[in-house]
Amino acid sequence: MTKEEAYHGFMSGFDWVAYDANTVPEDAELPRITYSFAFSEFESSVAMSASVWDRSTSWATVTEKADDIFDEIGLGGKIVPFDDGALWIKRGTPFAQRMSDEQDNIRRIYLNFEVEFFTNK
Amino acid sequence: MGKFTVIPQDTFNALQLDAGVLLTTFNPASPSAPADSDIICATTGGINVSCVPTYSDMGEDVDNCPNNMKELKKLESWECKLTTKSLGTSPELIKMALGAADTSGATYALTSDQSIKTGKTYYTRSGTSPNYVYTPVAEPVVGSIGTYYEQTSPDYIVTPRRDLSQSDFETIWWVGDRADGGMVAVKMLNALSTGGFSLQTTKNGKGQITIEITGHVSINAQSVVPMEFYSAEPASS
Repeated sequence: MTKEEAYHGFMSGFDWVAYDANTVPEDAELPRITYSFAFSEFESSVAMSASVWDRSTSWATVTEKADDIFDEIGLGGKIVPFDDGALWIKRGTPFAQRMSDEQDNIRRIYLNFEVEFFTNK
Repeated sequence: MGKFTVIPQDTFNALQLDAGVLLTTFNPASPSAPADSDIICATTGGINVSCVPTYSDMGEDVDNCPNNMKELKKLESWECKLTTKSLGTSPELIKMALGAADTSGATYALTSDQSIKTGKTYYTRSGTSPNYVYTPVAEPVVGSIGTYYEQTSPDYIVTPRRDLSQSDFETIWWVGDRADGGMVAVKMLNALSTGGFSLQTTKNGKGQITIEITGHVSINAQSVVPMEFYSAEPASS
């Protein structure tokens, strides 16, 4: 498993389909998670983001999903191993932020992470 | 990339992550998540653990003898310390920070229990008013429950003591996570706070108590250095 696959696997572990934010299909359904991915060398921390989306006039479902991700990462962060090392995914500051959308029946929460890459490949 | 620009393959496994926690008890042979009652305090800024030797050079004043000759090097002692800033201000934490101190002020009442409740501490009372002494009962028996007291409010007074007591020394553990899910732990023997009590408050912030703890050698085990280290990968499931 590559580091990209490991990160996608983590984002896909919350019962909603996860897409790289740069390659979301036009027919992708809601609810869904979109995420950005960037990589840097060992001993540097990378700021990454994700968004949880749902078609609703209520913030309840996206808030619950953001809370699930918050809990899964935990206080000390989450180690996600892959073939040549591991990712250390930590909560960013702020962790979650509500975002407005042109459509009133779309709800989105923007999430911030700090990710360290334990790999030299 | 140069052939010497490399790191060991197991670097990432043994990385120590996060600040770890200070505990009153820990079993490194069977490391499990600590009970809440075993955690000494919340800390800020991490925890510093050091075990520094002091050497003397017996050849220092010997003519024609180079400095640092290994055959003439003598290990004099080890200084084992643990420092951190605590966010807790409980009576127990203040007592620990002071070192030689006692807590008091608790109130007691005869228990109304008809049977021994598991996990509850019962006390016997001795002495005379107003200087009653309440002593925890190690193994309470239901036949004597009518003479037992229970604590109705905890100690809240902490009084520094002029004299040091051997009971002021205790064992303290620092335990932290490894990146591979294992643990790193340091056990400090005969630990006593030697830095005293120092509280720093700040506007709109949290008060912090600076703690410096030193490990001590016991006269009963004079060759035992008061610090032990553990580092283990996670147990295979």
